[in-house]
Amino acid sequence: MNDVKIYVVSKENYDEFVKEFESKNGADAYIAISVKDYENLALNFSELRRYIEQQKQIIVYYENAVKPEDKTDKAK
Amino acid sequence: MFSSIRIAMILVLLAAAGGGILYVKKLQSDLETARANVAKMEIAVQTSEASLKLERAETVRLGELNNQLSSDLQKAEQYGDELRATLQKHNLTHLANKKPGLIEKRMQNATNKLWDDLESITDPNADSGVQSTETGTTDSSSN
Repeated sequence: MNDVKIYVVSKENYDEFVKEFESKNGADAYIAISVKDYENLALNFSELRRYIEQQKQIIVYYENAVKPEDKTDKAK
Repeated sequence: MFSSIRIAMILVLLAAAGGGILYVKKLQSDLETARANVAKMEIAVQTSEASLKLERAETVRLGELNNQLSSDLQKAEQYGDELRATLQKHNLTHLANKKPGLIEKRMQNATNKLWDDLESITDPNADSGVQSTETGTTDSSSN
């Protein structure tokens, strides 16, 4: 997974953020997201994670279900 | 006259004896057939009992697998539930306004952990045995 740097900016640290951001990235264009949308993004990712995990569990279930009994016992 | 009756009686006795022998042989033959049929039935019963036993064991095994699946599916809901509880517990907008540095660190850590978790659950070498395609790059550069 590629890293993603998050900046939390309010009136208190806006000037500091602009300086730091420009020094790091050499530009002052950025994509902003509201706190509520960040929460929604996090919830969406949690749904994706849940979906992936559940699909994995279902695959494992079917793998075990069709496995011959002796192999299942060995696995236990 | 007397000898004719004697001969007739001997013939009747011989016929009765011959009939008896044939009857006994038929009984023996029927008995053999019945024994063979009983043996076949016993084998059929044993096969049926073995099949029934296997079926019952399979039903139990699949029941256990179903319970395990239900439990695992429930566990997968845990992360989302915890996240919702955390988001409901804290007013992020307020905290971000007051302590942006602190919230930034927490958000960054949580996001990094999410990437790690996603990488882990999609890892083809994980012990779940589920194969998947190649994951993303390991490039750590970011803005």
